[in-house]
Amino acid sequence: MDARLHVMVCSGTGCVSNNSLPVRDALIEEVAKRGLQQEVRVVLTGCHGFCAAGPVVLVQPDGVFYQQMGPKDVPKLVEEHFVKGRPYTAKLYVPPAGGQPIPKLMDIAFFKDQLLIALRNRGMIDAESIEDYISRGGYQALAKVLTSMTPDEVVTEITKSGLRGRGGGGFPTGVKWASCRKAKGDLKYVLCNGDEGDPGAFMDRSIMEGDPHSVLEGMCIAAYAIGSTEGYVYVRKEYPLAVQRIQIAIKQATEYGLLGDNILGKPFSFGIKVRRGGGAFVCGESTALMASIEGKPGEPRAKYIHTVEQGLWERPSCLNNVETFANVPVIIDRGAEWFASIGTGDVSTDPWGGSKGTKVFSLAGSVANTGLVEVPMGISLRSIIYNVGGGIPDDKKFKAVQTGGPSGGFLPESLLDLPVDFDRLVEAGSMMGSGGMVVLDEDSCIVDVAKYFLRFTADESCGKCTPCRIGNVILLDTLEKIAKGTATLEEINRLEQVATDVKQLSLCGLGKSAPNPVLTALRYFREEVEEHVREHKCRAGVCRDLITFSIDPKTCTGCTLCAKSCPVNCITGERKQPHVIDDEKCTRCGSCRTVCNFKSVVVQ
Amino acid sequence: MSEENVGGMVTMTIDGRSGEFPADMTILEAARSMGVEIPTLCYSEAVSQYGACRLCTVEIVRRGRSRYVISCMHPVGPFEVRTDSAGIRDARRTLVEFFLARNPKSPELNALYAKFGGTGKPPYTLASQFGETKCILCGLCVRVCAEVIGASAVGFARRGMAKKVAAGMMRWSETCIGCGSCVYVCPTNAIAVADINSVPTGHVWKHEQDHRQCRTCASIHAQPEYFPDMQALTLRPEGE
Repeated sequence: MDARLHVMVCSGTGCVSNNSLPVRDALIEEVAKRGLQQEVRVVLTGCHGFCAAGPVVLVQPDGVFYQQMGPKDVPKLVEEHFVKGRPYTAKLYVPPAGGQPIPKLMDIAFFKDQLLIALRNRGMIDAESIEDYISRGGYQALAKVLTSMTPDEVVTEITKSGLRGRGGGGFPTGVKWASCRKAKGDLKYVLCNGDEGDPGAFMDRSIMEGDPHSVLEGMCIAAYAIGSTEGYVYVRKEYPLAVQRIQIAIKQATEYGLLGDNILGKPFSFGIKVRRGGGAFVCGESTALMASIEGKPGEPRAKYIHTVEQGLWERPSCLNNVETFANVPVIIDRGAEWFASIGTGDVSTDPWGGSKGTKVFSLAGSVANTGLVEVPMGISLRSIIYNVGGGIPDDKKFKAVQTGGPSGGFLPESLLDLPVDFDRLVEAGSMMGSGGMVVLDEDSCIVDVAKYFLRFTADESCGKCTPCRIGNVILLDTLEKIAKGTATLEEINRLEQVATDVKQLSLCGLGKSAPNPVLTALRYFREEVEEHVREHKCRAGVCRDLITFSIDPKTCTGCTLCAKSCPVNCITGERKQPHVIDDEKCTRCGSCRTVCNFKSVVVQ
Repeated sequence: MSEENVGGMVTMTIDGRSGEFPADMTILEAARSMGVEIPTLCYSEAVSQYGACRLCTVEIVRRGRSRYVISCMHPVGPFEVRTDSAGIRDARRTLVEFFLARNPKSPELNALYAKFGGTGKPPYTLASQFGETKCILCGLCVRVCAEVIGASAVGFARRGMAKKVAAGMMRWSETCIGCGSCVYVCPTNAIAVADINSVPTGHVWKHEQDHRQCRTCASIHAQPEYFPDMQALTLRPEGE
């Protein structure tokens, strides 16, 4: 019997770590207790995206969204919603600006401006159920290409749609498929890049964990289009749930005859295997990924002979990102014209002519609604941060938004109206990347954040080519000197030259893009960078060697909290009397500022 | 390389001089065939190309657009190649400056630094942070050992600044035959042969195995278990 209500409990990593699984258990228990098992089905879904509100629960078909659920809230929820049929107001979403609680998911600002293509099944299905995927129209596109389209028609359709690689490069997918179709080889491979390595990014993870069949279907369609019989999904070992879900999905699809020999009774065979990566960032680079699948060290190689001609085991290989593959079935279902109607530019004659469809971003940093968002191309950064993201909390001032992960760039407030578009972002010195988006407010120091990202890329450099291995460490070394105030202005000037050289001379995308944070910091925030050396000042109060902590005697109440929290006991003062920090002993850890309830700790 | 070119010839200009080259040639080979000198560190005709040192970077100009490629791996094509423009000289000097940051005393690198217009003290030093090393990770020893000798005694370990050439598990090599090829190909003299227990040994690989003099090739001191292989290679009768 079909259930009257479906209760979709998020089991994305964010919600699980916020204890969504006990919520699910409590729901099942409570539903059973009230004898509603026949009417209410509790489903564990992939990530809903709204991580800031987790653990989240969505009740369908009503479309009512509950946030920050705990097991203790469950009996009330069941009583109110499932039995009495009205939303349980205490756990409804309330906008950060205040106002009435909003029951319906589609009325919440975070969801309203999103457009779901790659994440179409987000929060709607049980990721481990192929029936759920099929009931939402899954594998229809595969059936359509196998029964009514030639491989060339599929390639043309994808090219016409204007779909470009979602892994960051933005290479037109149809063009890649066409060259791989043309390439000669006894065996061709379809490879899926699930080696998402940007710190804080979880777009691909969420798709693999929440909707693995969408990736498999996309790969299968690609295989038909280019004439491949073997595929690999390359997933990092740090994503054990993604590995598990993909494996389950492969097994189910094979049982259903949607993978394997003679798919849907047609003379087309395609099998997919999972390969786990060890977690090296560079293995997200296409040639390093292929080396890793071959069992060799994950080092990139020169791509003067393209991987579509000589890739994995020197055979023609078509490598696309998880999100790219997830888009493919929808394009086949709804048509290239529909897909190309969303986004920027014109791709009817030039596949590079615009950015079409949507892009998934993981929105993080100083923004109210952190989480996973899918927005149409062409939307402004401002709209993502302020409408979908709900703006910057605590009335802080916006400083910069960093797109494209560790190798992207910082974009200042003056560029907030920049549309999300592969080419516009590159022109501005950043990039789309795989979709990281970190919002920085006035409390972040641009030198400090650039240092953070560069330390990551320098550490993750495979060390093969000189400019990346040594050049990036020289950049990092200079940034560290700037943060200490010991660099010279000449060194800052040279920083720009070294960064440009590293970009131009490096072997692979990692080295070519690693200097982006440095270059954009200098391009848009030069004054702040130079201030560090010229005035020995860090305006954000972050760089430890350039700041001093003191207590404002006018506002200090002598509550002693700061003195208790200080790890080096450098704060002294009588109870109810203003306290004093001993600057000699202070390590600038900032604990006192964090605990002070009166904002009396001043950083200069 | 497009299919039409396979087996055909390509007309390419190098530093203003035009020439015809087989389509499967690299820019470096083409340049050397014309007598144009392009400096290299990780290149050797004896082994496969690796593309790590980047010193052989040249500028190619096609349809008015210029970009930097490494000549040891990029195939020839219908474009203009500039091997000695101001930008290329600067790029090469920058690369040598990078190498010198951890290998400041190298005579080979200092000579290259001067050649590309470097004067005075090189601008960067990372030796105090990461230690000095003569090795520039060109990988010639790794390739010669695997591809020419067939021993694969050494490989790369770790990544980034911690990357180094080492034998398996960072211990001694059980497969090194002490042939000295790695010493011979090393462009910066980073590998030395040491005399341990009266047998020449690749010092870097901490090789301390039972060595016997092989009569097949007299000068090589090899491990007994490699005699059969070496005999097969040299077609000498057993016991030689």
